[in-house]
Amino acid sequence: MREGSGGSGKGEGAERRRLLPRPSQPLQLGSLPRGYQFLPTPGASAKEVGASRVPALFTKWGPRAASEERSPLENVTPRAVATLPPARTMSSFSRAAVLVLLVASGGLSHFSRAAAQIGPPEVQLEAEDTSIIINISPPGTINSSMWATHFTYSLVIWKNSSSVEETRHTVYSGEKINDLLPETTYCLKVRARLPIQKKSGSYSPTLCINTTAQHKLPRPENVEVDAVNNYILKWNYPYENMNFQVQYLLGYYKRIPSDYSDKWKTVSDCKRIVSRHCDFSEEITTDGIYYLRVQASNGTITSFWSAERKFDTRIHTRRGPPSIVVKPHKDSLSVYINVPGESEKKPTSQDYPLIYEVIYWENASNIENKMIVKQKLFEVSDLKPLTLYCLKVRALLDNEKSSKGSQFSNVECSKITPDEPKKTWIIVICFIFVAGLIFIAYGLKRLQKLVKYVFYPSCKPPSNMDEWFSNQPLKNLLVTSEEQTESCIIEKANIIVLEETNQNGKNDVCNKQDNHDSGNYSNEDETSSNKMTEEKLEQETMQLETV
Amino acid sequence: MTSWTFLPVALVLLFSSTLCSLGCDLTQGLLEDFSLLHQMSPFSLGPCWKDRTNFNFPKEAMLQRENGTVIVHEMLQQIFTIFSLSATPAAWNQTQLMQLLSGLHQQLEQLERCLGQDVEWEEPSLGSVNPRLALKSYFQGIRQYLQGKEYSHCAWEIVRVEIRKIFLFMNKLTRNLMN
Repeated sequence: MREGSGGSGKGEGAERRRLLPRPSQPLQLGSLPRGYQFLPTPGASAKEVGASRVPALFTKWGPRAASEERSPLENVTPRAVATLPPARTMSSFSRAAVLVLLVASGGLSHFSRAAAQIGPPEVQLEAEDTSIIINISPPGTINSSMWATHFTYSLVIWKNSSSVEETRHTVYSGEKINDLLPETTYCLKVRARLPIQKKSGSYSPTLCINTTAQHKLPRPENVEVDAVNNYILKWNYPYENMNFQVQYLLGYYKRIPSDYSDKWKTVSDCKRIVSRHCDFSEEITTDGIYYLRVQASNGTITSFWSAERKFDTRIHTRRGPPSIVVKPHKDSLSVYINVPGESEKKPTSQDYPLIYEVIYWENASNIENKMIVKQKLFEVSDLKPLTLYCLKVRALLDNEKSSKGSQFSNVECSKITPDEPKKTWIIVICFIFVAGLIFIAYGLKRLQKLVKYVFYPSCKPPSNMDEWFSNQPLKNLLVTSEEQTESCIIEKANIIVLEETNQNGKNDVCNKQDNHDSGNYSNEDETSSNKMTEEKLEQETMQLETV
Repeated sequence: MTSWTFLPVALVLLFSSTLCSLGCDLTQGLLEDFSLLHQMSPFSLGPCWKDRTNFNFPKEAMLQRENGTVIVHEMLQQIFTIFSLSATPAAWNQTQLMQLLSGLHQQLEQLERCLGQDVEWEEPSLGSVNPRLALKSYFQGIRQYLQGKEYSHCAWEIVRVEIRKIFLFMNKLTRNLMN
C-alpha cells in the first residue's frame, strides 16, 4: 500500500520543486498531519542538500526500516518533504490535494495513531566483570542531532539463561549497569525516549555480551556522599593497604551527545589516598550536578571503577542544624523552625521541599513522640498543662532518594502555662486606661482654666490698654487701680484699725473704688478725686510693701 | 544592556520568584542564567552590528498559553546545545560558561522530573503550528547562521543578544504560568 503512494510521485515530484525550501532559509516545518507516521533511515547517507535536508530521524511511514534496503536519501526526501507542506510555499488548494493523496494512500487504519515513531538507537557494549558499559548513539545519524533532540534511553536486560527481565529507565549513554554476575551472558535491548512527550521509540536489536571473569580486586562499594559540613565521599572496601583514587565529572557532559570519558577529572586531594573517604569540596566550584567514582589499587593492579554516585549541589546542600523558637500556650506549644542558609540564593524549598522531623518528650519521662511537619511554623497540641516539654527538630528532604537529614537542633524546653498573653494584655490596658485618665484630667484642667479665662476674667486689664493710656499719671492710675484694690483690702484692715483712732474719707474712697472696679476705667468723674488720694495711697502701699 | 535597565528586571524576577511555589518554578535559575550570559563575553556589540540578522523568532507559535513549561524545556535544551558547541570563543570567561551549562543542565533535569509527573502532553491538532517544531526550526536557523559566519566572535555576539531576548521571553512566560 505504501509503495502505491510512489505512483503518485509524479504529482508529488512536481510539487517537489515548490516544496523544497531554498537552501539559505531554515526549514520551516508545518504541522504534522494527524496520523502520519515516520520511521528513520539508519542507513541514510550524510550527504544532503544544504538546509533542505530532512532530519534523518523522520522519514515517511513505510515498511520497517531495518528490513528494507534503503536507497540514498534522495528517493526518500521527496516523499518525506511532501508530507511537510510549509505553509508559505503551498497554496491551500494544493495543500488540500496533498492531504487527500495522503489519506487515500495511507488508509484509515494508519491514522488511528497520532505518534511519530522514533527509530532504534545504535548500541555498543563493553563488558567488565560485574558490569556492562553501554554506549548509545541517538537514532539516525550523528549529523541528525542538529535538531538537538535530547533523548534519554531505557533498556531491558536479562540473563541469557533465564527469562527474568529487568527494565531500567533514564539511562544515559556511557552508563554502567552494575551488580551483575561475572562470566555470565547478558542480553539487552535499548530504546530511545523523548522525556517530555513521553514517547518511546522502537527497540534496538538484541545484543548479548559475556561479562568477564572476576577481577582480582573488587571495586569499592556503597559509595555515598556525606554533606553535613563539607562534601565528603565515603565508600567501603574489604581489603587493607589499598590506595584509592577519586574522580568527578560535571554532570552536563552527559547531556552532550559526544563521548565524555575524557572529561573525568581526578580530585586533587584524593589521588592516592589510603583512607576510605575523600573531601572533594574544593572541586565543587559551580552549582550543579556532579558524578563521582572511586577506584582501588594495590600498587600493581587497579580495580574497575565503582558505580557512579550522582551528586546534586541543590539536594546535598551543606545544611547546619536548624534552630527553634518555642512559645507555650494553654495546652500546646507553638514552634517556629529557622533553617540556616535557606534564604540564600537558591532556596531549597522550591523544588526540593524540606520537611521537618520533630521529636518531643516530657522532661520527666523518656517517651519520645515523633512527628513530621511540612511548615516552619506549627503547633504541638494536646499537651498536659503545667508540664515541662522538650523538643528537638531536624530538616529532611521530601525525597525518597535522600534519607539523610541535617543534624538535630538544640533541645529547647518549655513549660505549658496558661495563656500569658492575656495577662500582659490586661496590664497594658490598665496602663493605657490610667494614662488616659491622667490625660483627660489634665485636659479638663486646661479647659477649666480656659473657661474661667473667657467667662470669668481676672481684674487684670488687657495689656494693650497700656497703649491707649500713654499718659504717665493715667498709667499710674491704671497700675495703681489694681494695687488700689489690693491696697484697699489691706487698707481696709488698716482703716479698721485706724478708724478707731482717726476717721477720714479714705473709707469712702476705698468703698467707692471697691464697688466700681470695672467702672474705674470708664468713669471720668472719679478720676480727679482719686488723684489726690493716689499719692497717699502710693506711699502707704510702698510702706506696706517694704514691711 | 546597561546594568540600570537590568536592575528593574532583576527586581521583578526576584519578587516573582518568592510568590511562586510550584515544583516547576525556574524563575530564580533563569535569572542566574541571564546574568551569566550577560557577563561572560568581553566583546562589545558595536563593531559587530553589521552582522546582525533577523532570526524570525516564531512569535505566533509562542502565543499558545498551554504547555508553557514544555516550551521552556525546549528552549533551554536548544540553548544548551548551542553553548555546548566546542566552537565557542576562547576569549569568553570559561568559568562562567561552565556555570551557565551546569545551571541549564540542572534546570533541564528538574523540568524533566517535574514534567514527568504530569499528564501526557497531547500533540496539537491538525492545522495549528506546533510550537516545539517551530522552535527547533528557529534554533536550527541560529546554528546555521553561526556555521555560515564560521563561528566568528561577532556572530557569537549577535547570537548572544538573541538568546538574551529569549531569556526575557521565558521569564515572561514563566511568570504568566505562575498566575
